[in-house]
Parts: sequence; C-alpha cells; structure tokens
Amino acid sequence: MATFATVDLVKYLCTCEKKFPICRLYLCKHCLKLRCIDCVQHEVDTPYCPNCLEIMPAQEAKLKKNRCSNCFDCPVCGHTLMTRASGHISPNPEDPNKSVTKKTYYLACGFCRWNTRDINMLDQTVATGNWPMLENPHVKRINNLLENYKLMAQVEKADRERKKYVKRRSHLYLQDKFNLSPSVMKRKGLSSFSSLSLKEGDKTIEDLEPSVPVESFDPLPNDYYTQPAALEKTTKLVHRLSVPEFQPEDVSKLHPINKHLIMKKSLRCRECEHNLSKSDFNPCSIKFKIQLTALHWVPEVRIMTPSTFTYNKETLVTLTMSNPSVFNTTVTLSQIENETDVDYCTAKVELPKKELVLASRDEPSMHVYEDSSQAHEFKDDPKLIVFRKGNKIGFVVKVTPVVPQGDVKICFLLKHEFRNTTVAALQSESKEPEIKWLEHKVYLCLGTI
Amino acid sequence: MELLDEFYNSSQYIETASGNKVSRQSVLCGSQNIVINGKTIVMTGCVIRGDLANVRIGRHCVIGQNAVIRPAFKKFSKGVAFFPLSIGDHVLIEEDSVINAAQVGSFVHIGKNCVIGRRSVLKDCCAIADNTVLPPETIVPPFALFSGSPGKMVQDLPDCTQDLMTDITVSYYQHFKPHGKGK
Amino acid sequence: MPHFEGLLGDEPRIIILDIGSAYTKCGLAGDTGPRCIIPSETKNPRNQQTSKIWDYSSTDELYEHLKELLYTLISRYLLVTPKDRRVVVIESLLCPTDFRDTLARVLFKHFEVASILFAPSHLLSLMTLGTKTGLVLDVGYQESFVVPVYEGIPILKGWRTIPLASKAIHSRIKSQLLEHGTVSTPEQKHQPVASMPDILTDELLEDIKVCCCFVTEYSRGQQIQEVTMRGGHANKLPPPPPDTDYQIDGGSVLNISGRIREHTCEVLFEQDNDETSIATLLMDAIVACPIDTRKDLASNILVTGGTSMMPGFYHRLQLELSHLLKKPCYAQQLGIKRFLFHKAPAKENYTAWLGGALLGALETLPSKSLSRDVYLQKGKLPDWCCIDSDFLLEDKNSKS
Repeated sequence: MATFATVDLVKYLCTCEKKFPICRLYLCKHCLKLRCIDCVQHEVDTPYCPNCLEIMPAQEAKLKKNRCSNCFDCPVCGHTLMTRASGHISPNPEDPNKSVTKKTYYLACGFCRWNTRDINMLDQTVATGNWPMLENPHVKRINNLLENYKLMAQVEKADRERKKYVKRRSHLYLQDKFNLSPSVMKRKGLSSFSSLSLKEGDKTIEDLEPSVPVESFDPLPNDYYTQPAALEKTTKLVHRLSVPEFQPEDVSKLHPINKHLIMKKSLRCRECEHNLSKSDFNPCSIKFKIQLTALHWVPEVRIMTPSTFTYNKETLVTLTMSNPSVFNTTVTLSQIENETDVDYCTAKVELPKKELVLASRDEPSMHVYEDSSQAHEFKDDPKLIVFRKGNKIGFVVKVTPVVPQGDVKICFLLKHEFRNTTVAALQSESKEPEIKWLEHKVYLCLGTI
Repeated sequence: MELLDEFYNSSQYIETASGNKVSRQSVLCGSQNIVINGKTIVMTGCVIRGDLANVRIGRHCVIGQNAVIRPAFKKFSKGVAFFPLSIGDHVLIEEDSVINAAQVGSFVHIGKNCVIGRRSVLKDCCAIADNTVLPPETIVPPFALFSGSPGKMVQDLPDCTQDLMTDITVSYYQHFKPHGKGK
Repeated sequence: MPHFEGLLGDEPRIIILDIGSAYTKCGLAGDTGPRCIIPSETKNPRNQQTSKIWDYSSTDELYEHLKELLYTLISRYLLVTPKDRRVVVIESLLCPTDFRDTLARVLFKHFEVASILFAPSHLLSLMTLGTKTGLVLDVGYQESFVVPVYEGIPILKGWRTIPLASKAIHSRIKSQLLEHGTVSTPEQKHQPVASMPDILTDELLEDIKVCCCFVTEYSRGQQIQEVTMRGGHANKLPPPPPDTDYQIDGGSVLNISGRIREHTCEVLFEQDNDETSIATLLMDAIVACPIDTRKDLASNILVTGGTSMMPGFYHRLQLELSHLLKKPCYAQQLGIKRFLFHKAPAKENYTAWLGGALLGALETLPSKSLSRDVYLQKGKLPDWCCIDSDFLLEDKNSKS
C-alpha cells in the first residue's frame, strides 16, 4: 500500500554513485560503506526445485542440467503438472471371475487442461520416476565430433609445447597460398583455427567423418497449398524455444518439461571479500546466517506527510527518523557541499542545527502504543521535534523551492554513530563498544509544486 | 513515506479483547471455527468461510475489502474433504482477492484482484502481484514474486522483506483509528 | 559449494554465449544444446516496457541492458557463479566495435570472468560438420550474411550481406495486413486492420510468420513475382491457399488471407532493382573467391539462422541457385554444375552456438582467450580488423 509504492522517495547514495532506497542497500561492516546489488558479487549457494522445495546437490544439478527429476512443467502454459490417477478395471490374470482395479497415472495441467494423454504417452504404473524422456537424435554425432576435436586439441597442445623448444618454421607456404602477411598469421585468432585440422599421417586420431551433403530437398507437401493453416495443431514460437534441442512444430509432439531449479544466492563485498548476505540452507526457511542489510544499521529517514509547495515560499516539512540499533544514537544533519546532482537541488532546505538523539530500539515496547511522550527524558525542543515514540522521532525542516515548477527534491548529509555490536559481544562486556561516525548522503523527493 | 491515518466509523467495526478489528459488514461463516490471533484488521465486505473448515489467521494481518477467504477441498474416492486454512502473521491481503489456498505463510503480500488457486501453498516472505491468477496446487517458494496468468515467478524479493512487511502491517494497524461516534 | 568445485577435480564448465539481434542463445560447453533461447531484450520493471538490446542509443544504455540480460541468464537459466569462469562469445564478423567493447567491459569489470574468447559464428558453424571448407549462410533477423571458409580460414574478400531476413518478412506482413487485412471483433465484423494498427505488435507478426507463412516453390514464386513486381495481371496469380483465422487477445479474429501466407517470403527471393536476393548473395560470394576454391565451396553449403527454418526454404534456395547458374553473368564465370547442402546436427537457430560449445570443451581454449589481466592492462580487445602492434609484440615475446 502506501509504503510499498512510496519506497523510492527517499534514496541513499551507494559507493558506486547510484541512488537506492535503503531497503535495497547493504552495509559492509568491515569497510563501513554502503553497497548496492551492483557492487556485490553474487554467488550460487544451493539449487532447489521451486515446486518440491528439495535441495539438489550441486554435482547432481550439473548432471541433470539444473532440472528437477520429479516435477514437470506443462509445455503449453508453463504451470506445474499434477500427477493424476485413474483406475482401470481389468480381469485378474489368475482368477478370471474377479476384476482388479489397477491404478495408472498421467500428468495433467490444472490451468490449460493439457495432459499426457493428448500426446499419446502411455500412463505409468508408478506415480513418479518413470516418465519417458526425449532423446536428442544428434547426441551420438555431437559426442563423436567432440571426442575427435579433443584429440586434435591434445595434439595441438603438445605441438605448442614442442614449438617452444624447436625453432619456428617459416609461414611462407601459407603466405603464398592465401596471400596473407606474416603479421596476420601470428595473430591469435586465425592461426589457431586452421590448426584444428587433420594432419596427414597421424594415426592416433580417429577418422572424423565429415557430414555428408545432399543435393536436393523434398518440395513442400501439397497440403500447404490446399489446406488452411491448422493453427490449433502448430506450436507457437514460445513453445518451441522452451525446448531448444527439439523445437517441435506439432502440438502432438510437445512433451512435459522438467522443472528448472532456482537457487539461493549469497552476496559478497567486492572490496573486502566478506559475506554480506547468506541465507539459510533450507529453502523453506526465511532466516539468514548472515544478513547485513542497511535497514538494520543505518537510521531510516521517511517523509511524514505529503505537503503542498509554492514557489519561493518556505514550507515546514516533517520528516521521521528511526533508529535501528540497540543503543541510543546521535545524529547530525548537514548540507552537502558541491553537490553534483543538480536534479536534487530544486529547493533550499534549512536543517536542524543541533544534534538529534534517537532512543534505542527496544523490541517488546515497539508494539505497545501508549501515547506517552518521552520528550521529558530527552529534553526535546518542541519546535524542532514534533513527536518521539520509541525509537522514532519526527522533526521539522524548512523547505523553500527555488524552481517555479516541477519536483521538489532536497539532499543532505546524514552523520550517525555506529557501534559494531557483534564485535563488542566478542570482547569483554564491560568495555564500551567503539563508536564510529558514518556519513551518508540522503536524497528526498518531497512532492511537486 | 509514513502511512496516513485511516479512519473508520467506530460503530462499523467490532474491536475484540485481543485487539482484532472486524467489520460488521464482513461475512464470517462458522465463526466458531475461525481463530484470529490478535491485532488483525478485517475490512468491510470480506467473506471468511469458517463453515467449510478451520480457518486460522495470525497476528497483525490486514485483510482488504471484499476479499474472500475460503478453504480448499480435495476429492477423495469416498467424497470431499476440506483442508483447514492457516494464514501466518503479518500478512497483507489487498482488495478483491480470492484465497483458496491450503496454506499461506507469514510476511506475505497478496495484491489486488488476485485469484489463488485451490490447494496452493504460499511459503513465508513471498509476494503475489496484482491481478495474478495462480492455478491450482501452485507452490510459491520464499522470496519469490509471482505475476501473470498462470502465475510465474518473475522476480526475487529483497532480503529485508520480513522487516518491510512487519513494518507496514504494524503501522497500518496503528493508523487505523476510529472516528469516534457519529459520522 | 562453489569453492569446492575445483578441489573435486571438476573444471567449472565454460559459458557459451551468442547474443543475436533477435534471440540470445546461452549454455555451457560440452552440452548438445543451449540451456535457453530467449529474446534479446530487457524488461523495465517500472513501466513494463521491453527494450531490445541491439536498439541502443549510447554505450551506457547498452551497458545497463547487457548487465541485466547477462544477470538474468546467469542467475535464472545457467545457475552458475560468473566469477573466474571462462566465456566464449559467438559473434558475427560484422559486430560493431562498441558492442564488443561494452560486452567485454560488462563481463570483465562487473561479472569478473576469467577470460573471454570472441569467436566468429561462421567458423564455428563449420566445426559442427567436421569439415573445414564451406560456404556458410546465416539468415538471421537483421540481415543475411554469407562467408566462405576454406581450410579453416575465412576468405575475407568473399563475404556478402543483404538486409533481407526476418525483419524484412515482418515488415512485409505488416504492410500487407495494413493494406488488405481485416479484423473481426465481437462488435463488428471485417474491419480493416488499418483502423486499428496497434494490434500488429512485433510478437504478433513473428507468430504469424512462424505459424502461417511458408516459402512457396520456385515456379509459383516466379508467377507471383511476375504479378507483384512487374505489374502483371492479377489473374495470372496461382490460386492461393485458403485463408486462415488467427485469434488475438480480446476475442478478435485476424483474417490472414492465403495470399499473405504465400507471398510474404518472396521478399527474400525477389530480385529488385539491384537484382540481389539471398540466392544471388551465395553466387556473388562464390564468384569473389579464388577459382580453385569454388568447386569445394559450392559442394559444401551450410545454412544457419532461424529464418531458414521456415517450411520450404531449402527446396526453394536450391532451385533458385540452379536457375541462377543458367544466367549468362554467372554461367560464364563459374564452372560449377551443382550445389550440395550440409545439415548440421542441430537446429539452424543454434548451429553457431553448438560450434561454440564444441570449441569451449577443448583444452586449448585458455591459450586462445583473452584473460582478465591482459584486458585490464591493455584496456582494449583484439579484433580481426585492426592490425594492432601491441598484441603481435606480445606473441613474439612469448614464443621466442
């Protein structure tokens, strides 16, 4: 609702000079810098099937080409297929008088009503594991080619090793044949492809049969000229491309597709190589082993209510700031000098000059909504700080738009205290955790004139 | 942006001891089978079919207007049985959606006008975009955003989804205030 | 876990990438087919608009789009960690330099791959056949491109290209539908398509091409060209196949007349004012090559590219070529009597990819690729068209 749609109004500047809302940023505790998803390395953790939520070990995933063996997708609409049972009543072979109900299974789609009986695939007697798979008819030929090329590559590699110690022959013969200059021959791309050829007299390489060309092709069957295109029977391009190796043109040749796995990702800071986010092993769990989102460490600034602006008139805008840490945090706001992004300087802003103190975040009291103000504890200036509730304060800034029309955007520098509490937990408890000051540039879009 | 206060007519809503705010214009069939854990808002026009099977809704949920929550059934050889439906905590269900799921996890966001097919399972921290149709027996893994008809995974949600959902549901509840008597 | 892959003695497999104008083919080396064939476009999540990769106005825009496309490929289809992996990029010989540079920048700087090899698509297609000589024709989306290859070396003066391919077919379908086509909506029957041109999206045109159209045979094609191009009388047209009704979203039905089904692919074979078509492309390429190579080239023709998968394409091409041989301009110069075609062990739209997969599985790949360190040092890519002394000097030093 409101928060989701307006999450882009307040952006923080990442180290790569791009602006992101705080929920998409991470804070690297070792470099003490904000990182966005572009500044981090993504690593594959564990692949799992999105349907059965079973983890597949990485080796098995490689063999099975990242496809689940038990779950299938409908080739027409892409939804997961369900296994349905149907009973057959057939006479018992031992006792002809009694009849036995045999259960057979077939796959069916709940959305588009396609099922395996449409392609005349036989029903299986076992619910899982026995579905016939399509085989690419060219697999043998391709493997043959691959083996031969590998042999050639080995020979070439050995040759190259030899050449290092043996003087180079001249390239004159090739130069004459193709009229190429020697400098061109030495270039990496050209000479190496030509050496992937059969050398005469080399008995170690198998005979690589080159493919046999044909001279003529069958003309189109007459149906094309006399019948309208049977659109119900031809597959669409999207169906063909979902199985690249087969690309059936006829709907009756569509086969259930094994479901593609998805994976959990872990993120790593590029500079210090520490993990920023690592999720739990179990795909069903939403917990994280390591989670360094900026939301948990950097105070979040939000706009309290939308306000109307008029050119050159000062408006009071209330912003809220919430403190994510378990300690009381002091925050200062200041102007940015030499702001390069002109887009965000469409208004002059007067920031509070004093430091603001935010209360610590206390989980149990978060949900207790007493309106008791804690202003007396912190001696708040009522003109500056509108309210204080738990770890959140609302404060006032004065904004004067300097452009007659368009968006009102402001930016400022946010400095706050940062305590690395996990490090402190390792050290003795009596010591105060070390306080560091971090600064971030914040960009807000307040509205339009 | 913080949420704005939303006011409701206090005579329209029943506030229970555990803090649930249930609209009088919602239809709760079989209310003895419906368990709402606390601080949940059920808006006008909702239909919760507790008469078919047990329905359990967690804390800080928000069920939008005209949503239909109906447990799914399964056909057996000897008849039909209804699955109990459990919805987790901090779930946001927007207007006009029809939920026939078997299970909805916590921290889930379901958009407007969605149709969740029967016996679907939505795990924690997932989201369903507006106008999605999820076919029957879809399983939605955590941190997935499903969209389209049939619903397919289009995007990954950020890691902090849990915090965002907690924040939005809690602040929605806090800002849902009664007018006071009269209009 | 990714770190233990190397310890188990399993070399991480190499990524093979082919970013075409219309579709991108991506997979791992050693496979018999790509993992995915997806359109070469990115979707903006904010406004749901798709933008094609090859329609870029600046290299920065291209950088962002390539980053997103590669991210989708790597995280959804390949499920690999890109860091320290080798990549083979299959490219056309005519690939623009800024595209290559931007792609290398994205791969090296953002994804931190270990090395890249840019390989020419025509050479790789021949690898799938096991021969080293052939005339490779690639009928893609933007253009048809032919390169003769002899003994593993492309004959550079023999390359020919013509912008007659899928894009031309789509625009022919569109113009014919706007002229003659009718749409029946639930409200009103048989409205002209020109009154609602928005329904003719790119995807719709492509679908019509794939499901309804075909390449007609030579004699009928000649009759059709007689009428459409040289203004013959309309009743000289051969009787067209029956009309088809094509369902569009929203209950409307688009009438595809039989004429559209048969006539649209003529755009590939019509010899317009320049007298060029796909068939003459092949003939001109052969003529440009040295005399001793011509017979071998004509006996080893390989056709790749998605557009060549249309029904009737091969038959028509073969007849066109044999008829062109009788023309005086070619008969005098060429002594060849017949043309022989190869069939690769793959569908035509991923033949080049398969060649890349074969190349990527070889041990000699690292020595041919450009490694990350060298790229970061030099800052530029080796290219077949620039004689760059830097790279040559390096070769000399390593060999001596």
